Amino acid sequence: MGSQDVAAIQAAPNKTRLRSESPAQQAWRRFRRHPLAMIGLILFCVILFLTVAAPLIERYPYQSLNLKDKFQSPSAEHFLGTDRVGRDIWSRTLHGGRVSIAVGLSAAIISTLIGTVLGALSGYYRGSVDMIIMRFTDVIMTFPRVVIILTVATFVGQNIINVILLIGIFSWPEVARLVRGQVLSVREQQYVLAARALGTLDRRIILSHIMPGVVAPLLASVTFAVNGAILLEAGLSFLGVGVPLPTPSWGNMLETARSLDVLQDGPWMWVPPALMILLTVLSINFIGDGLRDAIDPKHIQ
Amino acid sequence: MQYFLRRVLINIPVLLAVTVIIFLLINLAPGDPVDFYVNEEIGITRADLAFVEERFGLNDPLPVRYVKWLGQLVRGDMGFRFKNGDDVAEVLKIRLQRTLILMGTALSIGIVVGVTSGMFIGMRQYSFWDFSLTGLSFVGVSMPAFVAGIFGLYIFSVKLGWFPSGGMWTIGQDKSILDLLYHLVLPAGTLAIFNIATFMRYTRFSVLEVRQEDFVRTARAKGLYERIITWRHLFRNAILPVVTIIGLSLRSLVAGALFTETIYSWPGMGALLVDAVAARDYPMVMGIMLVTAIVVLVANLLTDLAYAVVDPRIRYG
Repeated sequence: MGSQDVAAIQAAPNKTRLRSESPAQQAWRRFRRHPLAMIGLILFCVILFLTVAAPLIERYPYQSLNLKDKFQSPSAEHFLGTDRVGRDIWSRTLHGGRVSIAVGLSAAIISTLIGTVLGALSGYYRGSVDMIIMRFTDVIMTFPRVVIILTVATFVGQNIINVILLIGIFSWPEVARLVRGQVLSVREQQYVLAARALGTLDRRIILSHIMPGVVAPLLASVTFAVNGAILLEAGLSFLGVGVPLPTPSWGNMLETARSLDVLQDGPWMWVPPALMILLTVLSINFIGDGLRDAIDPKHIQ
Repeated sequence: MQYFLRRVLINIPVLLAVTVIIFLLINLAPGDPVDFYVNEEIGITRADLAFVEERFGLNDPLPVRYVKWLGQLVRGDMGFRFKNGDDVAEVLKIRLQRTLILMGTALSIGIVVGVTSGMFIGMRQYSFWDFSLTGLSFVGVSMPAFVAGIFGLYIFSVKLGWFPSGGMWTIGQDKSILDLLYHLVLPAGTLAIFNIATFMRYTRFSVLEVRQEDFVRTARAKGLYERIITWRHLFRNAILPVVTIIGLSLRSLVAGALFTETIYSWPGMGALLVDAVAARDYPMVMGIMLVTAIVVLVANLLTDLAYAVVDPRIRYG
């Protein structure tokens, strides 16, 4: 007699007789019609493909040094040039993308999970639960992420796993606050009052009545979480405390531009990673905006 | 007024918790700060350092050191830098002021330009302006301070030579407001890009959301002037999430300032933190974290109050 049974009974006729679309199908249909969203999706897929297929596309191993060919501007052999120790920039940009995207996605999953659970509990129960969770959130939030991660990262040692964990652990407050804010306003809606009057269980009210109203803004915030994590990794690596060399990441490749000679005379060394960060984050933002427009429950009548 | 007092008082335990976290983070960190200074080559050995540890009370148990530290903080004494013995509180005062100049300029530009243009395009969905400004705002939101900063430095300073590549004042010249503004253009511009784009985006989101609300249709149905609907019904509701976002953006502004200051050698707190962390200058790191936390706390408080002012529905407790 669970909620699944009821859902199954309700869903069954839709599939067989009425042939009407599920909200997810409707959302996907709307998403496909959203030009920016599709551009974003295609762009992101291309970037993802390039980075995943890096070993097949690269023309030189990304780690191999070649001091004879160091500091070369783009040419037919190295079409994005080489860095100070003769490593191929094209190869390193591709491989750097693997690291940057993997770190971004993993960290965002961690932070979104923590944030959603805490935010929903806080917004729904209010009172002392809200008080405790929100004061805890306040304490974490009083530290700008870069500041606290920069400090902690130097202590715990630099490696990719630490970067993922630190970003994930310190990035949930935004999600929690956003979810809480939405829950606070949705729970005041008449239909939630009606559900409560009917004696519906809290768990069911939160999951079936409140969360659908939170999903759209939450989805936008998931895209921000992914982007935030990618940017944070890049930023930390840019400051020299993120992904350690010789592993390439877009951030630590961009870091080379902090020395004036590279900035001035070797733009091929830092423009590719800079553009890749920009394009990746841009494509995910497009996808997020499309998702928001597609899933907005107020369109679904 | 009672609400105001409650919000202020609520922040005191938060502030205490913040000091505990800072203290624990720094003190539970592996590696002794003095280890960093062991250098046999110039004749500094562990034995010399044991004396230093004793003198600075580094051997006391943790809670004792915390209470001592807190006691000093209350009296405004933040200790001295490991690096060069400067008074941390004095250094912070100067650095904070410079960071606030940078952040304040960027935030003001962000709010004015961002909210105005967000409102403007929100009322004109799918128009030419909507497409172009939304497109630009996407680029702005996707452009982190370090990417914008590097490009800004390369284009406007290295290539075009329009603006100085760093610092706050021209060396050897009298300190004037004009000179300061001249040096402020690139860093503040870099920082403001993200703010303008974020506020524009959120204001637009929010306006579109509220425009679909029934009360807007009702207002229109009962024949109110469009101007009244826009400002009294739409704007007041649409601004709510934006107020939160402005408050939230302060943290990212501090982070952005950290990168901007590093890139343009703006001598503020962010650039200082990067140096202090690298040098394991613990009193300085603790001081910066504390000041940053206080800045954010005050900003949160103001956001909450602003939220209560613009939304009478929000009644806490």
